[in-house]
Amino acid sequence: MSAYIIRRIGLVCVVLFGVLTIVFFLQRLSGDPTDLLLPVDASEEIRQEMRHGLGLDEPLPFQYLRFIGNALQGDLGESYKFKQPALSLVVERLPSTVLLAASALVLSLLLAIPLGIIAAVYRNSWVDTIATGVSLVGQAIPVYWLGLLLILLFSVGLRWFPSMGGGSLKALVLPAVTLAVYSMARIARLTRSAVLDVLNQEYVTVARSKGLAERVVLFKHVLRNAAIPIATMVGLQFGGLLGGAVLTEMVFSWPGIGRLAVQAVYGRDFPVVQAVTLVVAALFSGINLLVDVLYAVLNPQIRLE
Amino acid sequence: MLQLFRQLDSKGMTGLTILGIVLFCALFAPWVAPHDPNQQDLSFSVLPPAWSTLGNPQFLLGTNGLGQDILSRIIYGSRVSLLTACSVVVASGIIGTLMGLLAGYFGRVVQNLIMRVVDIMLSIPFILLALVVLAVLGPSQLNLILSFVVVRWVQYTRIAFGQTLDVKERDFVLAGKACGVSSLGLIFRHILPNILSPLLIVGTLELGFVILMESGLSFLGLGTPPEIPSWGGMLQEGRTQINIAWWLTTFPGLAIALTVLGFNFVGDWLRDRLDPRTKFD
Repeated sequence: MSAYIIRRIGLVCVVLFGVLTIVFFLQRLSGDPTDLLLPVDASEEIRQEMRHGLGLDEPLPFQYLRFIGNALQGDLGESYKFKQPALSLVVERLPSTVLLAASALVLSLLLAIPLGIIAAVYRNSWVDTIATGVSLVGQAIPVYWLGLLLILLFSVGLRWFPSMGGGSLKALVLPAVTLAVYSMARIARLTRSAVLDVLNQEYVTVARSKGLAERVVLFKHVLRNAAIPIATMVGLQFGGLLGGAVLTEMVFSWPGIGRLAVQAVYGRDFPVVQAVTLVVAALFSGINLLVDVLYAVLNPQIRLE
Repeated sequence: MLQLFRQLDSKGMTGLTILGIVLFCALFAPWVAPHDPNQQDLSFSVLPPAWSTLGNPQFLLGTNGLGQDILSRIIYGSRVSLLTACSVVVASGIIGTLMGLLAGYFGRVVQNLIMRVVDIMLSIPFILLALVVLAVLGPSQLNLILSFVVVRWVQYTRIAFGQTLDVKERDFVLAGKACGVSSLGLIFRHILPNILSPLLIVGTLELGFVILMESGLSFLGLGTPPEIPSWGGMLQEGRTQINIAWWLTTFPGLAIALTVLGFNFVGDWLRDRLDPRTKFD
């Protein structure tokens, strides 16, 4: 078990190292930063000086090693725009995004899992039709459009919730609902098919033929087994939520890392883009690691190779 | 293929109908659209849809701030969406499938190399990765397509890799190998045709997904330039006037949602028909 966990942690390190490498070379491809940092009429001398200051006049392998060395010490460069360390800019905004993504995840689980179970148990009934319809439509709606419609209805029309900004619980409602819809649709669908799979297993037939009450069969035998694929899916969904948060944060002006990333792309503020990418990749890999380990703990059937 | 269409269920039927209409609009936009999508007329500025009291029957879904017809812009916008989605899916599908075939067919070294890259790509939410690539290339329509190809090929690689691992151990491949068929021949003539149907399903679902994401990035102002009517761009315009003109945001979004729903329906139907055992959830 511990060997498995150590191996998985090693893999996460390899992945993060790869992300660092990709991000480094992409930055070098993005052109000369002095074009962005200095006025157009800056003299070549000043440019040279700045390149020297940034270490851009050294050979590429040196630059790469220095970049990796700095990154390992938590230094991802300074934002061109804010003149602050890029990593601290991201870390400052991270709690907002995590709050948003976590609320959306909780919300979608609360709705999706009961919906999926009911749809599977009453297969082909009207409940199932509605649940399937909701999950198909939920996966087709653009996140940011849904956000705009909710603003239209609840901020412009009914004036119940604010349309922008963070900080209060009221301001969290619309962005969280917006972000939750896509993962709700996915999780509901997966829950339905996971429960259906288990319902067809022989041990369920055995449990029923023993004369167990349908409720006992469902809660003790079906749901416990269906929980495994659902748990895996939830870990993956969290990554999707962090990604979906980019658009949601833009619609609601939510002060998180998604909005920071988009604004950094507008301004070609590459160190910030790098820092967001790395932090999100680390977060996402960490969560998947956690899910995999939990999965192995929960399910002794899985042989760890 | 004919066999497939005989088994058309209601889901497949609905999906194909929606996509048929969208494709027709895209191909014959100049004849279908009632107005020139870029024709400005400030005397018709911000008209609500035709059925409301202030509406004008000439402009069925209303007009925007420049007096441009919303319906015509939606019809022309389908071109951007379909063209982007098809280019991305074809390019990333070919690259991704090739990578998956290579990773699955050749031994450990190639497999480790390719699949580690896939792991790395999958550890970054794709929209962020697309943003990184756009930050490097600078926002434009072509760069948007490029950035999506860079990000989405892994979806096909995952599937092609797993399928190749499975198929290459089957008797007909082993027999081919024993007869001295070259690696290239085995990969393209014997393995590829047998792994196509799951890839076709992924490709169909990806078409819908790319449309969603393209409109999202155009909404952020990082894709299609504002002169060309596109669904995401229309939503971006409408956003600033959301207080006064609900129709500017409602209808383009509806067009996106319906089109994506069409692709998802067709993808689901293909999955039920071609590959009932495989799940991609």
